Amino acid sequence: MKYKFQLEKKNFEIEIPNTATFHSPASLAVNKKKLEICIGEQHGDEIRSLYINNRLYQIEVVRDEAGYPRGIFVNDDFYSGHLLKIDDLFYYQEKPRKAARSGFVKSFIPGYIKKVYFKTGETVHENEIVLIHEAMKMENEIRAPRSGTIKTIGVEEGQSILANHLLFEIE
Amino acid sequence: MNEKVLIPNRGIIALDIIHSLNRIGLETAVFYSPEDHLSLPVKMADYSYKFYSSRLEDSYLDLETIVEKAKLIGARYIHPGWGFLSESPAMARACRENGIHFIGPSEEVLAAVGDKLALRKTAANVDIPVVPASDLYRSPVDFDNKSVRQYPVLIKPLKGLGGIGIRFARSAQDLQEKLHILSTDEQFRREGVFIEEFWPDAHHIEIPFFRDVSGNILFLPEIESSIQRRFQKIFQESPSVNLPEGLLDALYSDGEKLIRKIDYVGFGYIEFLIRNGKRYFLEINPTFQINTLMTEIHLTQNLLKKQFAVSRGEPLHHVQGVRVVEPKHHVMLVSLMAEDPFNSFQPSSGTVNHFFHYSTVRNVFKTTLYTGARVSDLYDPFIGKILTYAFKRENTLRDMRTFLDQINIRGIRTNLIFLKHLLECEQIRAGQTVVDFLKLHFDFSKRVHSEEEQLLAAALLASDFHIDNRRKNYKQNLEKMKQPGLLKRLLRGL
Repeated sequence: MKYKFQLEKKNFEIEIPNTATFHSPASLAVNKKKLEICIGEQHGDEIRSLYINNRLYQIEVVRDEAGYPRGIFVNDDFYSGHLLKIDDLFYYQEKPRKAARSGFVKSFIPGYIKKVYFKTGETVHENEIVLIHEAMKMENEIRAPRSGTIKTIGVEEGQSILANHLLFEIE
Repeated sequence: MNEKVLIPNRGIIALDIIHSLNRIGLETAVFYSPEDHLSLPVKMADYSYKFYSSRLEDSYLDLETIVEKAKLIGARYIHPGWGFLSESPAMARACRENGIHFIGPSEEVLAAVGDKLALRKTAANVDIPVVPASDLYRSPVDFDNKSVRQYPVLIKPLKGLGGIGIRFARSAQDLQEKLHILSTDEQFRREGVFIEEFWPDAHHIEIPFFRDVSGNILFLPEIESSIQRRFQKIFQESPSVNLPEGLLDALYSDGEKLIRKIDYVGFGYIEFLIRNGKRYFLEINPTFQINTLMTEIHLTQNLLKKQFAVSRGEPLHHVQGVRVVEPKHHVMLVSLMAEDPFNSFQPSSGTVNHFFHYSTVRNVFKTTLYTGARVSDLYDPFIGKILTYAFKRENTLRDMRTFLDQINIRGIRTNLIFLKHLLECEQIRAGQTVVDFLKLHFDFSKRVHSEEEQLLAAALLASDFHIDNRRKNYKQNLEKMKQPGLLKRLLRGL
């Protein structure tokens, strides 16, 4: 099978034989350069390391919600990359994400709300600090993405929150 | 029965103390918050006691509960570790009033050292050059723009510890804005902040010392800890390669003057900034730190045992007047943090599902991690320290690099890759370790991969995708086969 991946803004064509299971070394071609790849360590369904030409590489693939790769950690080093084509089928194309201009602001890491400066119904200007979110000794100033009035505040001072928790909404 | 020591601390700090005290034959007791109930210190200590809340104020910062519990369990000593309550004079006082021995300097010394501006004045009075700083501010209104001669500057809390609460300001406007944000902070209004010039090209040097009750002083080799990220030390080495000749003697004599002046008894660090070959006194740190392990290598003794002895009023052995320990080895230490270097160093929490490393004689890896450990988001992201030592600097550097290569941690993101690239930096090799190193010489986010590396990564990504896809197809087919009536339908089709 032919795969086309984009890795750090460069395209790579990878040809893998249909029958390759990688339980024994399989030869494949990346941009016509031949490599031998074999599974190293496997944990359940997750591949933890692969051999390339008998050298072991620790890997960890980052996937999006649909299960497609978004990038890969090779020996702890991150490479962003995504799938463009399988054989001749256009499979997947990553859309550039729009900046968070919408009024919803969510927490991106778990933590604890140290301070809330605004109340519901108050007017807020763009880039003003709305609340302070503390995680592991580090204080994150959460600023308003745009001007408007605060419709809801989803947290209280002193509350512990998980990631993706709605912090506040601006209308 | 052995004497009991209570350690109201967590993580690697508690681990260090438990291990050292067990070696002297003392019993250890630790506190733990609900978040920490599976952490290593809890498993290693002889006794563990639970706090019933994860909030810092109700757990590791809850002085009353700690002292009460210490009395209840019959602990004779409290070793505060570092951070949390370790520099609090109130803790020392509460211990004294309740007949518990506080391992650390006395209440008066802690108060004198804790007030950083007063300490600088004391130092200036005995002719020690100090880092210039502004007066104390409790509200942004008091602030006078003319008092700052040059930017950038640092805003430091008067009684801050461990780099918490230090803020960086680029310009006058930035400074005003930061002070306004601070004005809502309770601690700011109570204790106040001062403003200090920030020197990007300075070196940060700390000298560990002991002083016993009869006034003998033991100085240990200096530690250079210039390279910091978010005011947390990440790379330290000892001895420093950046001190011009004769400067070290000046540092020792300055240190001696100041320690005698404030009548310091116990273990501590005296910190200086070195700029253009001149020394400037910064502060005294009255507690243990991450880098005690480096000092232990130079001293070839159990450092905690010595601190214990000095704190109990025993004299320093083989020290008359002032003695300086000469370094035999070159020691380096890096801090392992649970931070994601690819996501602007946001703290990373989670469960470690794989952990492996391989030590040799001259590598020490102290960590709270084990397979299955949970890294909490409530506390600071410091999860381990890695030390190597050798006779030559380049060998230490090489050993450290090879050691980092074979550490494998899964489940959480760590700054390991950042450390690896840091050690390969040419300026580190050349010893140009300055305070603003990470901005001047090493920008992690601007690193590029070589074509060969990208090629390998692409091959790995494609293979993983291929295997994953095949497995999914196989499973789907298997499910289809299990559907009832499939055989019938197939036969009908025939």
